[in-house]
Order: sequence, then structure tokens, then C-alpha cells
Amino acid sequence: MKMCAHIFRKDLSKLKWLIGVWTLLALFYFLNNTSYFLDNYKMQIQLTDINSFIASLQYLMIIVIVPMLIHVDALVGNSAFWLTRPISRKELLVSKISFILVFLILIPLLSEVAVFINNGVAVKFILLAIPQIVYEKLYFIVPVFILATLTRKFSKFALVGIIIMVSLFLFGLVESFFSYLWDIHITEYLSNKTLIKTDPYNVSLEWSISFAKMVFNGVIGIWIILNQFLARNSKKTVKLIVLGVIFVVLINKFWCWDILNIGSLKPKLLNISGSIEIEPQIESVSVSEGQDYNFYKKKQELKYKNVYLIQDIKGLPQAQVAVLDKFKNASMKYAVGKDLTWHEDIVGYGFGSIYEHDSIDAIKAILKDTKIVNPYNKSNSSDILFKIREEDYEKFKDKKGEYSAEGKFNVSEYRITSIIPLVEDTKVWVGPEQVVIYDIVENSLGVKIVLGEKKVNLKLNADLQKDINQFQFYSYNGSSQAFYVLRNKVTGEAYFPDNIDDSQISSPQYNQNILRSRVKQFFYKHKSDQFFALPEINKEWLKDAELVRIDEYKVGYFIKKVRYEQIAFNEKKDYTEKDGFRIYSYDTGEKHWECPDAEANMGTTCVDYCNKQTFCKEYYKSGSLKLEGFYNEGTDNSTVKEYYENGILMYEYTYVDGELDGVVKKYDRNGKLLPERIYKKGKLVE
Amino acid sequence: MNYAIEIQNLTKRFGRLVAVDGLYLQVPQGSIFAFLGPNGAGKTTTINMMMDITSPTKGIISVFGVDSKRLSPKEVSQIGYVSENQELLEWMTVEQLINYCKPMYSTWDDKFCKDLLAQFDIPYKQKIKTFSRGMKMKTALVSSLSFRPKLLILDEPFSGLDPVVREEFIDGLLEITQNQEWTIFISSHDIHEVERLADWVGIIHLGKKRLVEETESLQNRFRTIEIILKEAISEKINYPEEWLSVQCKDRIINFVDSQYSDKQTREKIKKIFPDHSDVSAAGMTLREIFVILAKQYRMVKK
Repeated sequence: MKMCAHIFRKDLSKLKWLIGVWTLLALFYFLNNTSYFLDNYKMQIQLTDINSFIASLQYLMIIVIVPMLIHVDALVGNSAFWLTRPISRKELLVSKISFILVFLILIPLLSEVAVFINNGVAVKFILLAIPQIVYEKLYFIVPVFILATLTRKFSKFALVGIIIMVSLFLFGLVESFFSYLWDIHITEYLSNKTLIKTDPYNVSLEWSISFAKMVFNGVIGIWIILNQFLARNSKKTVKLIVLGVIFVVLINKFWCWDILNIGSLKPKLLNISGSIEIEPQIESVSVSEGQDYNFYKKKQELKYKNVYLIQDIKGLPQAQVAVLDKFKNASMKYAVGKDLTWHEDIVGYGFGSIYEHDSIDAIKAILKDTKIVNPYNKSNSSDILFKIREEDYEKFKDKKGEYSAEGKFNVSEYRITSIIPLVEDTKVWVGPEQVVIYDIVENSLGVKIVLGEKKVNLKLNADLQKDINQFQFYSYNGSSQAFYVLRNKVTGEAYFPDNIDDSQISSPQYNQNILRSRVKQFFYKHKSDQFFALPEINKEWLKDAELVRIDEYKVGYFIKKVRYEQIAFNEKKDYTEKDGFRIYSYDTGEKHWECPDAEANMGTTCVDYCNKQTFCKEYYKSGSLKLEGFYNEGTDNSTVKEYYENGILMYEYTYVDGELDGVVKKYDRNGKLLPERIYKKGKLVE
Repeated sequence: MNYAIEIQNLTKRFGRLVAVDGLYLQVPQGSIFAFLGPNGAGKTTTINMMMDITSPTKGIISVFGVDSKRLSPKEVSQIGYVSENQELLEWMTVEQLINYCKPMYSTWDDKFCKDLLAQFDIPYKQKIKTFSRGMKMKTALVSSLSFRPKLLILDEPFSGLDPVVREEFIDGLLEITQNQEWTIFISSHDIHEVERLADWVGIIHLGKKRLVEETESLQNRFRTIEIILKEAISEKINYPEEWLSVQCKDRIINFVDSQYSDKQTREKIKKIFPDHSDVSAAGMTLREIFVILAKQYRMVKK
């Protein structure tokens, strides 16, 4: 042990400047993440970028420090000083590993833990985070360590590193060449996808394979390091690497049992498919062109028609939503003519995202005694059901068919996780996640709330999700979405934010640190382009307001056979045309919109889209005029008038260069003019 | 006799190349053993196996009775090693290097170290990377002598040194080792460098041992002989095997007798050339012996 310490001291003397910078970086990370700075969200946005920069520098320094540490007592070649000195190989190994543990792992770990403590993270989460921090550090350090033991000088280390990267690039090129000429995908061949027919519902197999790979890579890595340190037999090392590659390929091919039953950690199968009804909304089938963009895979540059479909899933508890994950055994049959046979084009697509109206309905269901006052703008988004080649589209577009498949549907549930007082600088913990209210800004349209989410980014649950993305900020319990509803606890009135999808103003950029943070801003509007008669969000209203945080939880999944009859490929128009106008109707058949045909769109005010010379009209179901807008001739400016259902003018306002500008007149139901408001470039002046 | 190093049937292959081929060697304790051979003979490979830097393909090397593959730090701490190929920790100053080496050896002698530094005139506070090649070799020698090793292995220590530094180095080595009970194993491709030092000589050529002998005995049995005949000879003569590099020019015959003994050599000459008028014998330097043997080995190979 004496000799280990002696070598350790020598290495520290050699690397003292680099270790100094390394320690400073860790210190800087700590200072960068103290709550003193984080109370200022604008500063925090900057600091998030700085954190990313620090992380990049740390990676860069690992690439420099580890090879220098190993090369100072090189394991390759016959000329290293230590080889002829009374230093045992074990002592050398222990010394080097100790150095890495103390400086490259312990120092950043301490800084991270200090940040946790400084941010008030509970001890339980700190303890849970420590193995993950160590694992993430080792995940990068070990391969660098291995490469360093196999090279004698930094120049060689860098050269080998570059060769590996270039080789991977060339491998990609070779693969694309094969796939272009013969449709052979080497990566897929080497991976489990083609060699093992994985059951898409039995994911334990995939976990088993990835676990086996991880363990095997780890064993090979440790074996190489030990061999280099303890035996220095380069021939054996080369054999080991070759054997390692062969074994990894073989394991990919043949490993097919879940030795540690890791699959049991996956979301559970819910036995509810019997009570679920899935209704496709056939009338919304539409067709659009699609293309795969891959510069070298010319075969895939064929034009496709993407077929969209909206489905409605019924039978779940009110607070739950289901989302299709994937289809299996899909087929398309036609009453006349042949079936579509290219199933790979049918199978691989499905509805991937939660429809907003489903989420909103679920959230409404759990907010009892709360009245959501703003009619949330439901978007009828849809996903690709399947795509077909253009020539086949031409062949089948006028025919109707039956689509059937076995679908796997993931079920999520919405739950209220926290009630947050609406006071600046409030900090609330939601599991390992802290919510901070940075700023509350009132304006004439409503209120803007800026809040921060800081998270001990444990992957214990998030890891179980497929396609884990390190850039992602997982909310508590692996939930991917958090909603904040602004509620007045006295009146029970509540607002959805106007911008759920666009709330993030600082992204949790990937870094190797576990505590991640992001800043969001939500707009709660009592006035907007479309909605005017809502309870005013003013100081008085906000005095009794609170934020209700709602999280989405993964509950499990169910499998259900679906069958969509009478699917036609031909694009269905949801409007009729008359004299150059498009007429959109309510579901019940009454006229809704009347707009010029160019760029007309449902769900928006036509002031944005209408032709300059004419105007759009919106009607109540009763047939009376609701809104009319037209451009002032020869300019970009437009005037909009809104009416009560009884025909009395409700609003009159003007847009200049796309922004509310000038006097806004509001009349009561009796036609009496209420106090006017004046806007200048979208902002209320008086 | 006790041996510091014993090599038995040592073989090292690099792919098809046989660098050392069935080598047997014994180095007596307390001797200064010159391990000679031309470039590529297998000297450094043998030393590397001796120090467990590389492993033998076959055979055993014992150092102080321990298999070199099982040399522990305890045994290595009795071996000093200096090589032209060895890397020093050049980012250190001499002081740092000394301080790094010192705790590794229980026998480290501070006073001796200081004397050596003074003798070689090595600046204590200077970084090694700023040194010339000669200074680096001297620094390596100091770090390998200061613990008074029982065995000092020098692998081509003079290579690349200018003549002045080389002389200084050899003088220093002679002075230091004069009163020590050390075994020194010194390899070189030029015998002239070690002539003043060696009391034993081993010659290796193409991986095979050609000769191992005490220097004195070697020099005693090699002589250049010149015979003056009365008349030039015309017929072909079969010379004894021990007569090397025989050259005839008119009435004069020159050769090297590798088994010289005044009486026996003269008898052989009288038998082959009964009609000679004069015979003279001159002693040879180790260098001359080495050159003649090297030529002989090359001829044998051809």
C-alpha cells in the first residue's frame, strides 16, 4: 500500500495542473447551481448552458487526464521506467484506479452531492442518485481507460480514437451501400432485430439482450484492463478483443432468456381489453404525401401516401388515457380486388401521441369542484396509421377496405401531485422534483407565470421506458408531462395554460450531472384573439389563486384487436365549395365557417388567412352571425366584428400588421358601449 | 561457483523471426560480464527477458536463483538497470526523480547518491527533459547505482554517446565498481567500449551463443601469427580449424590462431610448413578477437 500511495503522489505531481482545473470545474459547477443564483430564472437559463459547457469540458478533461495517468507508466512497449523498478503490477493497478476514483469520480460526486444538499434534496434521493452518478462517470471513463492501457502515447491514443470514429462512419457508408444495392442492413443483421424474432409485447427479451451486452462488455473491458496491467500480453489482448466482438455478435444472435427477470420490471399488462372500445373516426381519414429523407438510401426516396386516422378509445376510467404503442399482425383487406401485401409498410406505424383533448378530458375529470373556464383549444391532431407507395395508392384509392391489427396500448393516468401557493419564490417538492415559482407577471390579457423545475434525474423508472433519451427531463416517477392549472380556490374557477406545448424556455440540456433544471413559462389568458368573456385575472383574482400540478403516470398497457372498416384512401374534404368560398360545417350539419378557399383553416380566426379583398364569416349553430373579419382594402390591416347570438355587436377591433392596434370597443348584450380600451402593437395602452 | 544469472535453453520468437535461439549462459557473481554481439544479435531481447519485460517463448532465466518471470519487487530492488531504450520520467527534475526512486529501495544510500551526482556533474534542480542524451544516461545510472544493486544490467549504455562522454562514463563506472562486490552485465555491439571493464565475455550472434570465456583466457588463446616461408607455396593446404582468416601472399602467411600455445602452435607450423624461415606471434585486443570471430560466424552462416 505504501508503494501505491507513492505512485499516487507521483501521478498527482505530474497531473497537478489538470487536476486543479478539474477541481475548479467541480467547484464552479457547485457555485453555478446554488440556489442563490437559481432564484433568478433569467440567470438560471444562462447557467443551464454553462452547466452543459462545464460537462463538455469535463468530458474533454477525462480524455486528457486518463491517458496521461496511464501513459506516465505505460503498459505497452518495453521502455517504461516502472518496468525495471521494484513496483508490482498490482500496486500500479491499485494506484491508478485509486487516482481515478479519488479525483475523477469522488470530486464531481462531492460537488453534485453539495448541489443536492444546497437545493434541499432529501437524503433518500441523494443516496439513490450516488450509484447513478458513479455509473454515469464510469460509463465514459472505462472505455477511455481501456484505450489508454492499449496505447503508449497520447498521440497514439488520439489516433486510435479517431480511427475508431472514422471506422464507424465508414461502416455506416458500407452499410448504406449494401442497403442501397441489395437491401441488406448490416446493423440490423448484427442486432437482435432480424436474428431473433422478438415478440413486441414480450419486452423482457430485449432487456435481457441489452443486459447481457452490458455485462459482457463490462467483463471484456475489465479483462482487458487486468490483462494489460497484470500480464502485459498484447497478443492475448488482441485475441480478447477479437473474441469479445465475436461473443457480442453471438450473444446478440442467441441470447434469448431473461436471466435476471429484468423484464418483470416493465409496465404490467392490464387485463382490461374486454371493456375497451376503440372507435375510429373514419370521416377524418386524409391523405398526404410523405417522404423518407436519407441522403444515401435512394430506394427510400420513393413517394408515399401517408394515411391518417383518428381513433377514440372508450372504456377507461375518466382520469386515464390510452395511446397506441405499436401494431402487430396488421392487414388490409378489400371487398374487391387483392389485399395489400407489403405489411412492413402497414405494421410499423401507429398513433404515437396522446391527443390533447383526451388529456384535457382526463385532467378535467380529476379536478372535481373546479370549473375550467377557458375553452381549451383542442387540436384534432392525428398520426400516421400506415403509409403506402404512391403507385399502390393510385390503384386502391377509390376502393374501401378493412384494416385489422393487434394493438398494444399504453395507459397513463393523470393525478394531482401538488397544490402550489401562487407566491413568488415558493418552492415545493414533488417527489425528487422541486418546483420554484420565479415570477408572476400580470398584464391586460391575463397572467404569465415563470417557474422552474429542478429534478434529481434518477433513471430508476425512466429507464424502463423505451427509447430513453438522455436529453429528456423526466418528471417524477418517469412521467413525461406535467400540467399546471391556475385555480382560484374561493370561486373554483380555473384556467388551462394557453401554451402547454410551448412552455419550456430553457431546455435541460444533456450533461453528466444528475440534478437537472428547466424553466417554463405559462400564459393564462382571460383575453385572447378568440375568447373574451372570461372572468378577469386581476390582482384580486390572483390573491386567492393557486397552481395545481398534475402529472401523467404510466399505469401499464393492454392489448386489443382493432378493426377499421370501410377505410378509403381517397382524401376526404371536410368542406364544400361554393363560388370560390369554402364552407365548413358543424358536426351536426349547420354552417360554421364561410371563408375564401385559399389557405382557409378551421379553428383559427380568418383574419390571419383571408383574402385581402373579401372577408370571412363565422356562424352560431343557430345560423346567426358570430364573427366577420375582412381586410381593409389595399392594406394588411384588418377589422373584426363579433356578435352576440341575438345579432347585437359584441366587439369591434382592428389588427395592424398582425397585432391588435387601436380602439377595442365592447358592447353589452343590450348594445351599450362599455369602457373602451386602446391597444398599441398588441399591448394595452389604457 | 555461484551465478548471478543462469540462462537455460532460452528461446524467443517474434512470429517467424527467432531472436534468441536456445541460449545457455552463466554469469558468475561478482564478474563484469560483457555480452557482445552485432546489432540484431538478440542481446536486448535477452536482457528484456531477464528483467521480465518480455516473456521467453521457451527456456528459463534465473536471476539470483529466481525465475525471471516470477521476479518480485524484492528481487528487482537488487537489480540496477540502465538502457539506451529506457524512458526516464523526463517531466521530473533530478531531485524529484531521486525522491521518487528512493522509497522503492531499502538499501538506498543518500551519500553515495550525492557523490555520484557530483561525480557526474548532474544539475540537481534541472528538469530531465532539458538534458542531453549523455546527461540522461548518467542520470539513469545514478538512479540505478544509488541503492548499491547486487546486479547492474547495462544495455548498450554507450550507444549514441560522444567519445568524451563515453570515456567519462566508463571511467566513472570503473571508479564506482572498483571496490564493490557487484555483478555487472553489460551488453554492447562494440567490444572496444567494454574492453577495459570486462573480465568475462559472452558473444551472441543471430540469437545463438558463440562464446563465453574469461577475458584473460580469451586474450591468451588468440594470437595473430605471421609465417615467412623460404619459397612461395603452390599446392593447396588444409589448415587446422583453429587457424582463422588465413591469408597467403607470396612467401608470407598471416592467420589468427584461436588456440594459441607457444609450443603447440610452433609444432603445428613446423609440420605444415617445414621449410619456413621465421614465425612471429602478436597478442590481440578483445576488439580484434571479436571482429575475427564475427567474420568467422558470418562465413559459417554462408
